[in-house]
Amino acid sequence: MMCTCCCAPIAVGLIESGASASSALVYWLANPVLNPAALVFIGFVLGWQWAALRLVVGVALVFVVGDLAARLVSPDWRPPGAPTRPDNTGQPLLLVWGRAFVRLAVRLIPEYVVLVFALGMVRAWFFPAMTPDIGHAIWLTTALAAAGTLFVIPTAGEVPIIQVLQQFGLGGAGAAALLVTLPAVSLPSLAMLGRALPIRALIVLGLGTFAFGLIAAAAAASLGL
Amino acid sequence: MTTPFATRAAVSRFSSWGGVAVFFALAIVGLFYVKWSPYYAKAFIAAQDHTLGASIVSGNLPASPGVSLQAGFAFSIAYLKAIWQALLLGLVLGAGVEAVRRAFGSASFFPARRVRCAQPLLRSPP
Repeated sequence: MMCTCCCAPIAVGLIESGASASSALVYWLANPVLNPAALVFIGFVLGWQWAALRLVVGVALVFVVGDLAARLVSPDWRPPGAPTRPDNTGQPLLLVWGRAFVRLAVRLIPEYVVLVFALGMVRAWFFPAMTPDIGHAIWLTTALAAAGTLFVIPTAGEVPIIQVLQQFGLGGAGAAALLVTLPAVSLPSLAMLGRALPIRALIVLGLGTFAFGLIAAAAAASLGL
Repeated sequence: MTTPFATRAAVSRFSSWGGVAVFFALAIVGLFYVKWSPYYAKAFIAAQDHTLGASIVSGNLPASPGVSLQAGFAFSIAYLKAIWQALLLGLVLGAGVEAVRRAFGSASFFPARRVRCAQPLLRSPP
């Protein structure tokens, strides 16, 4: 139910605790993509056909992209920032917990805030001014799938973004691309996962999300959404 | 004077289970407060109004504001206001996963990678 960035510390914690990369990545992707609250909001605001599209493409995205990226994490992969001294057994749990919290926050938050600021600053590059003339263009759909993959939004933030753009002429294909890619991953959340995963896994997560955005766009276009 | 080893291990095992309980309690209470409860209320608003308000990218306009520091600040503030509670919860739970796993001092949590986890943990009490 969490957005991709708020869920990233949990995924990092899971991987550094020894969970398999595939389970951590499926958990991380499913949280924003298959969020039941977001599906309900999509249904009420955009229409239930859009909620169904998000659910079907989202399930495929979570398992295919999560599994593909996890395959690139070798079984003896050791997260670079993982604690190497595991003998904390005698210490009070709250102390260990507090230390882990500070360690996660210091490693993840500064870079994250800088990236959010940068993306917000240049967001006009990601989202071209919408007009009915460009709303159905294939280049726009492709550009929006890339923008949705990189850009960062709060939980269910994709719903008003799509609704407003639709009012100004965005077609079904572009809306579908945003619907799938915006919540799934973002540059800041990928950067956070980069603390615990090899770079090639991050590239697959990004490219896979982009590809599923295009699949959703093609599905929406052929269904006449 | 030192506590007998067995007693110390028992105490630590007890506090580990307490930690697991605290972890799950925090997860459930936190998710209820930050997510389930507000979203439940929001669902009725969405059903009634068929909108969730303005877009975080462009408000109610077709175009986003041009590239500027001001655009960066405005977006960062709107975004962080929307997510800070969930981010805090994510950090607490992410740290909790690590803390609980380490407090147990065993690889039993994630059997899939037992061999690798077990190796550095050999020094923990039996």
